[in-house]
Amino acid sequence: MAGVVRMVQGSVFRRSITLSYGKNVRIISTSKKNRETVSVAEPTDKSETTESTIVSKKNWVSYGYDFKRQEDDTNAMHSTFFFSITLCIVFGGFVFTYYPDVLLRDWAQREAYLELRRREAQGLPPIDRNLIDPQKIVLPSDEELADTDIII
Amino acid sequence: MLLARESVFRSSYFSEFFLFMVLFLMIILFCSFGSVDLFSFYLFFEGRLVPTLFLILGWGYQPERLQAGIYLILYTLFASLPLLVGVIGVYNSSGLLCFFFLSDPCLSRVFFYFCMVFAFLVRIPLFLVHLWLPKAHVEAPISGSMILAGVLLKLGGYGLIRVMVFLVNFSFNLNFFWISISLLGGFLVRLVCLRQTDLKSLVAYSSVAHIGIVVCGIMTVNYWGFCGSYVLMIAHGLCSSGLFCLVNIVYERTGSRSLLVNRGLMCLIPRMSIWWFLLRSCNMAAPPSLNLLGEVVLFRSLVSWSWLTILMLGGLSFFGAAYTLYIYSYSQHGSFYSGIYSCSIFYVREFLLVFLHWFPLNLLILFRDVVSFWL
Repeated sequence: MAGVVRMVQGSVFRRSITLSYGKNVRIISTSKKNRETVSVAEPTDKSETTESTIVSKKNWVSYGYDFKRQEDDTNAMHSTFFFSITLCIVFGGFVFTYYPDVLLRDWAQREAYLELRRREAQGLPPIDRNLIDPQKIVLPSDEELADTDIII
Repeated sequence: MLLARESVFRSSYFSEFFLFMVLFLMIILFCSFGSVDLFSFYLFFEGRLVPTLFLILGWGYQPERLQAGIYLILYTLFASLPLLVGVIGVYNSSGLLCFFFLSDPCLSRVFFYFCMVFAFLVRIPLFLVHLWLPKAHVEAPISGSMILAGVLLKLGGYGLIRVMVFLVNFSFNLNFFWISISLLGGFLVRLVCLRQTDLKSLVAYSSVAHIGIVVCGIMTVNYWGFCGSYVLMIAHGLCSSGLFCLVNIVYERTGSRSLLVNRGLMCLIPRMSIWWFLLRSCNMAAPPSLNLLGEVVLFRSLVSWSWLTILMLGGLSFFGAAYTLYIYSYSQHGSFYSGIYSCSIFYVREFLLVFLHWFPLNLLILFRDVVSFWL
């Protein structure tokens, strides 16, 4: 709100517009370095590209793979990112997500839920008390057990 | 590991031999985790000591690495010879060594149980036989530390899980011993962490504490215990390895692992602070990390085994969070060490390295059913 009020008051606003439109405006400054590249009225394409390539070679910041040769550094960066992120994470993640159900684990869980719902609808307990036929179970006799602790 | 050890290639310090050692170690580890036979597992279990020793002795930073190498070799070999005796005993009684067909070998001696279990407990490491770990981690080069923390410790856990299957009879009577040592030891080690000034040593001791909980989980012989220990082993491997990377990144800049020098890093390398925070929060099992999943499952398994473990587990968790927050705050916040002349920015290579450690750590918790119930 305060900003809007100040802009309406006007002098700063007008000055900024004139500056942005007037490419021939000369800003008085004591430092010479920036003025050579910025204050040229119509820079040619060739000088821009040569200046920018020279600037990038001088101020090359390594990606951390090779500090002597930029090409090796860039290649190493591209290859590590490709193998780790593109292949392992992106493609690997895709394969992992859409891989068929190993050992039918998901299928078994779905079937279990369906069975539980079916039994609940019929009013049965979740699992039958005599799931295994009691006559088939062979328990050791009391003499065989003796003093063994029975932990349930 | 190769990403982390860029300085070896820069200084051309036997870089080809280094590469060979790392690859050799990777192949041996791959074979050990893929072995179906108890004897071949033993072979690769012992075999990975040689390249590890070469890595520590050849590319470590300080003269203390000689002692560290001796500790590593003597501790592990001393404990592994009984394991060979146990393996031969299993073969004599059962006539086979394939993991899938092993059952109770009908050897009713407690000596056999100790033979089989002790090697893995020293490797994993259990509290009282953990002395080799801080030494080896501190003296090892970054690749050595990463692979030690990430994979080699997990060999012990993997071996324990494999072997527990047919040592169940002894386990019911004797495992309380290892559980109580691990819990109490983990608590004490976390107190020790609060006192550490060497960053690498701190991460090494925190490894011991985490792995103590893993050992407890395996020793309860619950399904939940096995699943939780499996998850926490994966999570700890990623987290500790990532923390070692971060410590090394700072070490390469300041030349010191001391906490008193490496402080106020948020002022110097703010981009790295977020990785410190994320990995530290994973280390103390803050959600949504895989460590949290592992610890919750393990706590459930331990408390179902005995409610008395709650006392130690509460202390463990509290002091774990305490030292983690203290270290994060001390290393990142506040003013930086005035003796630092210059500090280079956080390179893309390092960013990728730490990102690859953190990404599965915070993502795999979404695949809980796949990760934890793989067994």
